[in-house]
Parts: sequence; C-alpha cells; structure tokens
Amino acid sequence: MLEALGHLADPTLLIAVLVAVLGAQVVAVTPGLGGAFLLAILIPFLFPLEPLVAVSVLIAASATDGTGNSVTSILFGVPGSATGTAALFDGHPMAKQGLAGRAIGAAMAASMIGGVIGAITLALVIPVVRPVVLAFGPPEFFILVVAALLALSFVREESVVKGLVGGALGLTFAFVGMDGSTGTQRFTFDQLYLWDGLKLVPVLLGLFAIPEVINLLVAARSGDAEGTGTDRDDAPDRVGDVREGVKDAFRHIDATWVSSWTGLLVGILPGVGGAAGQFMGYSAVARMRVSPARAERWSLPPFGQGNVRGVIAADASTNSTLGGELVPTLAFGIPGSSTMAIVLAALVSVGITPGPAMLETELDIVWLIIFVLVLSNVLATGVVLAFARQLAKLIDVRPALLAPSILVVCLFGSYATSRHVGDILTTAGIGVLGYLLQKYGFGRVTFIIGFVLGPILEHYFILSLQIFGPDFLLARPLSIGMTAALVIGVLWSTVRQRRRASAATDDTSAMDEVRS
Amino acid sequence: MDILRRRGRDRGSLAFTTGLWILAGGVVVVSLGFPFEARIAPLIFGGAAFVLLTVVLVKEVRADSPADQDVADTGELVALLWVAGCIIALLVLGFVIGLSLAMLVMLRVHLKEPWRQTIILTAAVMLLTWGVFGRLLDVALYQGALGLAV
Repeated sequence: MLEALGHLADPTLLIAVLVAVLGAQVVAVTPGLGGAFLLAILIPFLFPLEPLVAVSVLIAASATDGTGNSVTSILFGVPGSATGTAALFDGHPMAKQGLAGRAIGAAMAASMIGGVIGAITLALVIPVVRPVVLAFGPPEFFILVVAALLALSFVREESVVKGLVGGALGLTFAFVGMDGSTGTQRFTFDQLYLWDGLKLVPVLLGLFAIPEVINLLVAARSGDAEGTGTDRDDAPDRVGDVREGVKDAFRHIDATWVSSWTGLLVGILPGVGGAAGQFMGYSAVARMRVSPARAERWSLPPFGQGNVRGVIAADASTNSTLGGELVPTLAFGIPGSSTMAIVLAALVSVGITPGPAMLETELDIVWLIIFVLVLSNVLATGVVLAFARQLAKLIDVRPALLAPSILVVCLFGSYATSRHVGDILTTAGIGVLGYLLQKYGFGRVTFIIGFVLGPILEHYFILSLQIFGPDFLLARPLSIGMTAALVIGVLWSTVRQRRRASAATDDTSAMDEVRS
Repeated sequence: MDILRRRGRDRGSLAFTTGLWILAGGVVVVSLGFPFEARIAPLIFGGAAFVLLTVVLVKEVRADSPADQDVADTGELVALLWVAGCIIALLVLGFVIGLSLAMLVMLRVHLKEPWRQTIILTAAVMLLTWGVFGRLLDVALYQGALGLAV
C-alpha cells in the first residue's frame, strides 16, 4: 500500500490524472459521446506513457466520465451520455425552479461520496476475493468467461440471440492470427499483417468511434442533435448556491449511502453497468420512507418534481458502480461491461495483466488503482464545480464540427499504435461492421468482450481439455457447482425472457385491436 | 412505433444477417483444415455463431409483413460513404493532404458549413495532423499511396 502511495507522489502521474479527469468531463458533457468512446480514443495515446501513468489515466478517465454529464442534465434536460439520464428526473425540475446551483452541488458531492465508497469497498473486497480467485483452475475460469458473455447477452441486449451472435463473432475475430500452441496461421489469408492477429485499438475505434461519427454526420444533416434548446441562454447564469447542494448530500446521507451501495452491487453483476446502476439507485432511494416532518423541514417535493434526494440518488450510484465493476475485472481478469473490457484490454496493452497473478505479485498496482479512484473522484467534483458554466457551454458544439474532428483523431489513433496502414483498413472494416451491428441490434458490447476474452477463453479451454479431458466441466466440485449455477441461470433467464416476450406480444395485439 | 416497424421484414437486416451467416459458415469450413488444438475453439464458437445466425435468419425470413422503408437509411448510407471517402483520401494522399482535403470537401459539400468555418476547421485538422501528431508526437505520418509512389 505504501508503495502505491509512493507512486501517487509522482508529479507526472498527478498531472496525467488531472488531464484525464478534465478530458473525461469534456467528453461527458458533449452529447452523444460516452465512456466507451472516450477510452477507445484515449488508448493510442497511452503507449508512450509509463505503465503506471497509463493505468492511472485509464482509471481516472473511466471513473469520472459519469460526473460531468449531470451538469447538462440538470441545466438543459439533455444528458451528455446514458449515465446522466436519471440526474435529469429531479435535477432539471430543480433548475426550472431556480435551484440549478443547489442541484449541481448535490450531484457533485453525491458523485464524490459514491465514488469514494466504491473505491473503499474495492479495497476491502480484494483481500477477501483473493483466496477464492486462487482456488480457481482453468475449468472454473473457462466457465466464468462463458458466464460473463451469457449474462451480458441476457441483461444488456435487446435480443438475447443477437447478443450471443455478437459474442461468438467477437470470439471468432479474436482467433485471427497465429495459434500459439500449434503455430498454425488461422484466417490470415497469407497476409503478413494478420499474423499477429487483429489489434485491439483499430478494432475498438472501428466498433465504437466510427459508428459514432456516422451518427453525428446524420444528426448534423438532419439538425437533430442540436439539443432541446430549453432555457439554454439563461441556464448557465443560474449556476449558483452550490454550497447548499453540497450540504444536501450530507443532510440526506441515508439517500447517498443507499444509492452508493445499490450502484456498487449493480456494478459487480456482469453486464448491468453504470446506466442501469443509476436507475436502480434512484428507485431504491425513491422507495425509502421519509417522515412528513423531515420532508417539510427540507421542503422535499415528490420525486420527479425537483426532489434533491433524486439528484443525490442518481449521481451517487453512477460513480459507485465503477468500484463494483472493477472487482471481477481486477480479481478474475473478466470484465463485466464494455468500459471494463476496454480498461482490461488497455491494461494488457501497457503490460499489466489483471487477474489472479496480479493479486499475487502486483498488489501495489491494485492499491494504486484504488487511490486513483478516490483522487479522480475528488478532482472531478472540484473541476465540475469550478467550471460548471464553461462545461455547460460545450453542449452547443454542433455535430457538424464534432464529427470530422473525431474522425481525424480516430484515424490517427488507429494508425499511431503500430504505424501500419493495415490498422486504418481494419478500423474502416470493423467500423462498417460495428455500424451495422448497432443498426440491426446485434451486440457490440458482447462482441468486444468476446474479442478481448477470446485468447483467454481458448487458453483455459485447451488447458482444461489437456488436464481434465472432455468432461472438464464436471471434473472438480467447484466446476460442477459453477456449471450447475450457469445452467440454472440460463434456464431461469430464458423463462423470464419468454414471459416478457409473450407479455409484449399481448400488448402489441391489444394495440392492434384498438387501432382496427 | 419502432417496435412495430421492426416486426416486419427488413431487407437491409436480412442482407446483413445473411452476410454474417456466410461468414460464420466460412469460419467453420476453414477451421476444419486446422490441426485439432487450433481448430477446436474456432469450430465451437464459429459453429455457435452459425447456429444462432440460422435462428435469426429463419425469424427474419418468416417475418410476415414487409417493413416500412426507413427514411433515415439514405442519410446513413450517405454518411457512411463520406466516411469511406475520407479513408480513401487518406490512403491515397496521406494524413496531411488527404485528410485535410477530405475535411474541406465534407464540411463544404456534405455539411454545408460556411466558408469561414470550413477553412478554420480544415486548417485546424492540418495543424493537428502535421503539427501535433507529426512534429510534437514525432509520428512518421503515412504519406499515402500517391506520396509513396512519388
């Protein structure tokens, strides 16, 4: 732990964290650009950095991309990204009542507390998880990877089958290149460029940034993405009285606490992530009973009409989710969300491999990540409170100016990693694939997780076959238990999906009848 | 409304799913030629993709009513072509000239930006690629097929 604190004293690392936090706030506030996009763009620029600085930048950016987007949610009712949606339920009504500053103060303080709770929990959980992780063998890791892909398909995707197709395609793309164990060239078509396999950065940029550019270009032509324009001119002037909002986060510490823990638990579950964490945190706090005397004392209106507890709930859970998401990523090397898949892949790219070995030999990096989580959350809150007015103006950047700029950075980013023109072609090809996957509802998140985990999955699969034979899933009590849990989980989720689908069909038929 | 529209047969979706289905089938066929340890994982997961895509394909083919043509499709195709154009310009003329030229044309012709903003943004792109990426970050920028030939 002391070693990690020593790393944190490095001025380069601190400056890098500050720059990452600032960049994350700019992206968070800009409509249409989310956390996965930020990380995809960031990775090519991490390679020249020292590994510990690169890790810190990555963690700081991913930890705080949910902080700044509350500003535009509150002021204009336009969330910068999906993770800022719940903040507008009560934040925007508060702004309309002239309480924008108070809402921003409450949101930022709650974000900070949520983030710190997430980091502290991560610190407490890692030593507990360590012996469990070390008891795992190749079959258990194989089951865990398959479970992560299945869970993501069931929880995140509109269509489970299409989500699974995304995962299977991602795994298949990961098999391009030379097979380590036999030296066989797989799907390389005699191209030297493909011998080392498809590189992560061009695939990431193609999958997430190119479709974003296409969407922005479409929006620029149709004039869709210029926002709602609600109260735009005078809203930034109403940023004031922030201190009262900060006090609110402590006055309603029960709401901050419950929402933070809800977000944290949601983060640990694979596939649910920050966007769902905020709604679950919000609904958990909305269900809490507040005495009429207390509601009257603090002038709390009903939820959805400018209740400061709603703002606190949305923001505390958004930032605590990341602490939860980092538990499976760091302990098992298995990400539970697209952001974590990118973080994992980027960590591997800079020479740090999360998983059991990291918990044994590189515990100082785990502690550094925890410290950076705390530091970046505090910094992000300070930055947003200090620059709320300036950040709010970023919402006016037109997609017509944004799209070409992103395209240039994206193409340079894909080329800069290995300086091979093949990477630009990969970005272009995967960009078209990513756009079509998004358009037709196939899983892009499961694709990237399959792509990142493909080599690990194959490694554990071959190792399990060699050690335990074809029935490796039933070789050890732990693997039997995990296989049984996986089968039960899949059956239960399938039944639930079918029930939901039949309910939706009934609703549609009823609508058709009403129309006819 | 969107859900209702998606219930019908969508030719674009059908074509894309068919393309993926052929790709997954190709993966399975090609995998059969590898040694056991190299083929087992692609065979299983490529095969899984093939089976799942068959399910999706059957569902799409059996969708009873023709879907409404999405009006946004043309706009998306045009945007896609502009991105492709930028990448082709980069591959032919390189980062500095190709991308700057592509930006100029895209901003003026496709996005209908005024000359002033077009020139400022194009100059910014040129400065970013040549100054920041090429000089400051010291990356040997790709000169394009034409640049290399000359």
